[in-house]
Amino acid sequence: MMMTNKRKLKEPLDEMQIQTRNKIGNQCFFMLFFLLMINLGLQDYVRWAASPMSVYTIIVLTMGYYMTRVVWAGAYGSTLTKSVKPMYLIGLLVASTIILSLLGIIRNKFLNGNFNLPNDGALRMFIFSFVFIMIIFVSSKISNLKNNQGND
Amino acid sequence: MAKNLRLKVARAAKDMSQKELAETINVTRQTINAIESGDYNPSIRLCIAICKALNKTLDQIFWEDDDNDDDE
Repeated sequence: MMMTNKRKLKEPLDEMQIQTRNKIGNQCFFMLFFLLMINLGLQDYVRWAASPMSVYTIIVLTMGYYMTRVVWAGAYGSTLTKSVKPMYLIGLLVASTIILSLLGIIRNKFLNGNFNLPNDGALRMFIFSFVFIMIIFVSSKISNLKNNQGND
Repeated sequence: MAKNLRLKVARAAKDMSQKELAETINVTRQTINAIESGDYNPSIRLCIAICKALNKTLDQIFWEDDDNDDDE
């Protein structure tokens, strides 16, 4: 019984959600692999973007596709209805983002002397992390809504 | 896969909604819905958990034979 409880705490997704997520993950991994190989093979013939940008675009597109499918399948949200874990995680992410941003600002301001906020890497990282957290939050909500669909 | 009407009947007999059953055995309502509609084949661990929650045996809910078939 104790072991079952520990398992439940470590695995907030149920078995169907885990299977769905793994299936989508496998498909996306192969998609990423083949897209990168095609991009590499066609580099000399079709140049649709410079090398780092094309790889970046493929990775972002595949990640977006994975995220969309997982959320659509309802395999992102937890089975735990009253869990404090996601809030704890988001709090941890926000705190670490703020600390890292402050460290970046301090480094630029006091160590280099040429501090420019709009083009600052720390600010960009903060915005990126904020958007990332918002995506996670919205995805969780949508996935939980999907989980509650269906008739009795 | 055939619909599992016996699960639905057993759940209704205990006056439980899909959500209540799902919360009892710590899965999502979507999973219970998928099992009842025959879209998902649960593991033996989940079958046992469902049977315990509904006070039924595995035979009564999940065993399929000529006498006990839900195919429509």
